[in-house]
Amino acid sequence: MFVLVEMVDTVRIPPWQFERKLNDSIAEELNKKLANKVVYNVGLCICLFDITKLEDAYVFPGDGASHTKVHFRYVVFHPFLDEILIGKIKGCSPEGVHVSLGFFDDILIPPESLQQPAKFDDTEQVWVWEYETEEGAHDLYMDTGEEIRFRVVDESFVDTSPTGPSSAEATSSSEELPKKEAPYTLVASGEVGARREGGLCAPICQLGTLVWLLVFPKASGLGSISEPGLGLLSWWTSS
Amino acid sequence: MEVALSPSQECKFHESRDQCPFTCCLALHLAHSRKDANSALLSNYEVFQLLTDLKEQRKESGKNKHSSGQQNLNTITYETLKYISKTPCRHQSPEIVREFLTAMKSHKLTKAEKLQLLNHRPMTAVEIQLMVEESEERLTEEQIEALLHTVTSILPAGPEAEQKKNTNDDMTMDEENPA
Repeated sequence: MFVLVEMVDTVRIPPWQFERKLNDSIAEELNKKLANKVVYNVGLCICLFDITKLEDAYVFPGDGASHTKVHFRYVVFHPFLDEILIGKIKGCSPEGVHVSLGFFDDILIPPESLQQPAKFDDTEQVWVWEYETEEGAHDLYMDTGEEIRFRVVDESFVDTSPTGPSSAEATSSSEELPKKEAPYTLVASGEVGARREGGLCAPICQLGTLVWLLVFPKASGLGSISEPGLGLLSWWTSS
Repeated sequence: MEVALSPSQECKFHESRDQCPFTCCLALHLAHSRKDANSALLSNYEVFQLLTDLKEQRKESGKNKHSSGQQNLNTITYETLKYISKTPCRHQSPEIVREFLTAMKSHKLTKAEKLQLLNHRPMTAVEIQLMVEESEERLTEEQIEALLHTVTSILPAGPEAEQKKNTNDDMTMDEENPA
């Protein structure tokens, strides 16, 4: 879930902080700059891990502050592809199920990656997995606040830095002011149903708890395929 | 805030200067090859340890650091700590992690798979199949059972599992803490 990223940056220490230890001032400045921020193509920065190298500090004319080039390592939240994570359902919308980790909110499970068959209940605004057994169909609701296990399938970074006045003709990624895009989004798969080659069944179906058992042949191609074990945790806990 | 590459410096991660993000807000060295990316992985326990120590340090250094600039750090550390505290990593220690990794050597799993097992402490075969790629080809049922046994015996249970254990009066289970 977390990675260590090596970075280099120049840190400016204003004169009134010269009495403090340089390392402390630099650590504070770096945390002020990066903590809880998304860096493009890197991930969500959590906190400073350590400072690996401090180069000479310079004072430039006209500015009394010192400028130090720092090599440091930062703890960044950046789950790798296909990683399994557990989060809480924040809400459902026709776009899919929104999951949150507390410190990171922009996780979406699109409808095609949910357990099939799944339908969206408009009155309750919730996605439902229509699970069928011999006794009949059970509707498993994906309620807000429930813990859910999902697999990270895709990520997207959006450059939200402000565009200058001259770049109006240029970029395809220029955004209109009212639209606010999340700088870092994860796309996940919450499917549960299995499609695997061979394998045997996993029996055990108990009313109220999870179960599924039949294993189907693995489908090839992109996109997530239903997998056993993904979905609400309450679906999978044995009594 | 910009750091520009001087003509003599070469970015070791990009073939051409155009691809290099050096001249954007921060100069970043991000490992691109899969090998490097894996070597920088952190387990949840390490992050938990780091954030707890950071919290202690900031408490000790007094209340004068509550400037508005530190608000982001406070928020992210609080939320991340809250999240990690609910996972099984809470009760781990460096010795437990070391013991776990030594025991895992015989199972021949990739680094990413071992990390997921360490972070999640799976208790069922279903979870193992999720975390280990191609598990039905690489592991037999006995191997999966053995793996489960190793994981549950070495790694301490998460906070929720312990609560459940405490409320089960009629079960006489041995101490799960591998002291």
